[in-house]
Amino acid sequence: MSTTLVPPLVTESAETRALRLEVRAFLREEIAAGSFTPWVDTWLTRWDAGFTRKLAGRGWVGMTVPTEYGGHGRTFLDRFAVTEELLAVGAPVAAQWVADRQIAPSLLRFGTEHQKRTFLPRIVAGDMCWGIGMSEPESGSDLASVQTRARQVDGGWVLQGRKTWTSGAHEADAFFALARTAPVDPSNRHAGLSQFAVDLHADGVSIEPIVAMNGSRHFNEVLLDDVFVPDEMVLGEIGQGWHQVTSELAFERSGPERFLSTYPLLEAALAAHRESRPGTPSGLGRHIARLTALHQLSISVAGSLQAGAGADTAAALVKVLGTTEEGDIADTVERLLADGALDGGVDPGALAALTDAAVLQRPGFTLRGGTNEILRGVVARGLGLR
Amino acid sequence: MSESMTEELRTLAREVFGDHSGAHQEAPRVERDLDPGLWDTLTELGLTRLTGSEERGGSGAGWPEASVLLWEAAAHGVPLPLLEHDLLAGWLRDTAGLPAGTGALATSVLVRENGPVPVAWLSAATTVVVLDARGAGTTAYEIAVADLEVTPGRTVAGEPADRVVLPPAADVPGAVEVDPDVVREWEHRGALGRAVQLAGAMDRVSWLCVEHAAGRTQFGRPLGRFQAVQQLVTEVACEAALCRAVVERAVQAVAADGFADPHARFLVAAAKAATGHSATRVVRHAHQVHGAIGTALEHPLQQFTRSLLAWRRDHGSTRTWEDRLETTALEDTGGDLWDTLTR
Repeated sequence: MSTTLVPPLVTESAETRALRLEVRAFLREEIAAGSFTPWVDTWLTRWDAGFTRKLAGRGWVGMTVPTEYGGHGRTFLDRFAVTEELLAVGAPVAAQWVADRQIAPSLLRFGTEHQKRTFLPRIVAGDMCWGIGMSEPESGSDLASVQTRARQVDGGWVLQGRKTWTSGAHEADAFFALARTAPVDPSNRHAGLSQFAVDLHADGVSIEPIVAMNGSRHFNEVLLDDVFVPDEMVLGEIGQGWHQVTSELAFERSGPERFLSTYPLLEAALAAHRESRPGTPSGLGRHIARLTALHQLSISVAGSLQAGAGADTAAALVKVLGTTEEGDIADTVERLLADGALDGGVDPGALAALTDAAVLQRPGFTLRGGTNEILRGVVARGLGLR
Repeated sequence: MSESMTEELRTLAREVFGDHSGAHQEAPRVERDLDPGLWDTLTELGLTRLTGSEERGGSGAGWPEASVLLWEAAAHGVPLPLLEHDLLAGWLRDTAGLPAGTGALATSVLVRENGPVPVAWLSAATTVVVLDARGAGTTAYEIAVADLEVTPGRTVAGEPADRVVLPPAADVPGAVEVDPDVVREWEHRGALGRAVQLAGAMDRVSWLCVEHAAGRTQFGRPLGRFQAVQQLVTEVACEAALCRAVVERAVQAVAADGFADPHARFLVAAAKAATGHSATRVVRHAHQVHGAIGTALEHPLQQFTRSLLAWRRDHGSTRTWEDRLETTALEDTGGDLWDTLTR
C-alpha cells in the first residue's frame, strides 16, 4: 500500500545545474546594474517587455519549444530551473509568463502548423505577449458555465461576451478565449466549448481595468463585441475546448510560481534577522523546511511532464500546498516585523513595503488558477473519492 | 544495491509485515512490544543488521534499503527497533571500533547530561551502545542492560522507552574515545530514521482516511461524497505526499554523500522538521475524518496516530529542527539559502 499521487523522485542533472548557475549569475549582474528591483509575486505584478526580450535573447523564453519553431528544444526540467531562478530574485517576468507557461505548450499540442509558425517564433523572441480568456463575471470556479458565444459566419466566427481576470490584457497582444459554440447540453455540459486565438487589438475588443485592493492594475475585463476571428485562428477542434483547457492544467498548476511568489520576502526577512540577531533562529525555519519539500515535489512533477506522464493530481496537490505556504510566509514575516523581531537590519522601510505588498497579494495566491477548494476536489477525484 | 533490489526488498518487507499485522489484528493493546518471533525471522533474512559491513555481521546495505524497511514497518504499524538496533547501535559500535556485536538486540542512546534518560526499547534489548557526551571528550561504550537499573516506561505509542542512569565512561571498561562529529551524525541518523517512519505512517494514514471515507455511510451517502470530508482527506494526502518527497530526497543525499556532507545534513533537518509539522495536521484531520471510532483501541488508526505523536517529538522536536535548519544547517552549507535549496 503506497500513495501513487507523488511522481518518482527527480533530481537535477549537472547540465541543468550549470544552466541554473548561468541564469543566477546573469540576474545578479542585472540587479547590481539596477535593471530591476526584486519584488514579490512578480510573475503577475511586474511587466517589463524589455526585460523579457533580454531573457529571450539569452534563450530563456519558450525554452521547450522545438528548434523548428524558433525555440530551444530544452527540457521541462531546464525550464523549471530557469523559472525558479527568475522567481527567487523577484525578476519582472509577467510579460512572458502566460505565453511561456501555457500558450506555447497549448499551441504545440493543439495548434495548426500555420498557428505554430505564426506565433511560436514571436513568443520565443519575447515579442508577443499573451493572456488567458477563461473566467467570466458569472463563471469563476465553474468554468463550464461560460456564456461567451461564438457564432459561425463566412470564413470564421464572431465572438460576443465578457472575459474577466485577464492578467496583463492591456499590454498583451492576444489571448485564448474559451467560448460556447453549441448550446448547453444538460447531460454533458463540457461539450460545445471551443478555444479561439483572439487579437486583442481587433475591432470590437475593449479592455477595462480591474483595480486591485492595493490600487495596482494587473487584471482586466475584456469585452468582446462581435469580434471576428478567422477560421485559421480556431485552436484545436471546435467542440473540444474543455478537453483542451483541462489537459494543459498540469503546466499551469505545478510550476515554481505556486510556491515562490513570496520567496524574495523570505530571503529579505532572514537577512534582516541574521544582521540584527546573528546565530539565533527567527522562526522562519518551518517555511524553509516546507519550501525544501515543495521544491522537490514540484521538480518531480516537472520530471513527469517531461516524460509525458499525466500529472494532474500531483500538480493540483503542489498548488494547494505551495500557494498556502507562500501566503503563510507573508503572514509569518508580518508578525515578526510587528513584534520588532526584525528591527536593526538594513533598510527596514524596504522590508516593510515588501511585506505589505505580500500580505495584500496573498488572498490571490489560493484563488488564481483554480481555488484550493476546487483543487482539493481534483485531488479527491485522484484518490477515488468522487 | 540497485533500484530493482530495493524494490525486491520492499516486496519482501510487505510480505513479512503484512503477514505479521494480519496475524496480530485480533487483540490490540496499549502496550506495543516487540514480537520476538518476527525479530528472529527478520534476523534470519539478514534484515535486522541491514547496514552493517559483512565482515562485522551485517548485510552491507545502505540508507536506501534501510529506509525501505523502516517505511514499510511504519506503514504496517509493526513496532520494531530497526533504527535503534541497526542504524544507531550497530553503526556506533562499528564507527567507534567497539567489539563486533553478537547479533542480540541492542539499542543506543546519546547522553548529554547527568541523571536518568529515556532509552527507546531498552527493556527489550540485551545491550545498549552509549554515546557519552557528558565529559570533556566524547566516548562510546556498550553495556549489558542486565547490569543497569532500569525504570520501565512507555512512549505514547506504547513502545518501551525506559529510564536509566548510565555510568560515566570512565567507569566502563572498554570505553573508547570518538570524534565529536560522531555526536552530530548520531543526531542526524536518529532524525532521518524517525522522518522516514513518520512519512511511512502518514502514507498509511492517508489511505486509511480514503478507505474510511469511501466505506462509511452517513445521511445515506458515503462520507467521501461530502465536500467537507473530501477537504480533510485531501489535506492528509497532500501532507503525506509532501513528506514523502522531502524524505526520499534526504535519503538519496545521505546515500550519495554521507552525513559529513553539509547539504545532506540540511536535507535531513528539513525532512525531520517537515514531517514533524505535517504529523500534527495529519493526526488532527485523520481523527476528524474517522469520527469517534478512530479513537478506539480496537480501530487500526490509533496505532499509526499514536506512533506519529511519539515520533514527531523524538530525536529532536519539530521546533528544534526548524531552528537548527535556519541556523547551524544553513551556516554549514555556506549560508546561501537559495543555493542550498536548489542543490
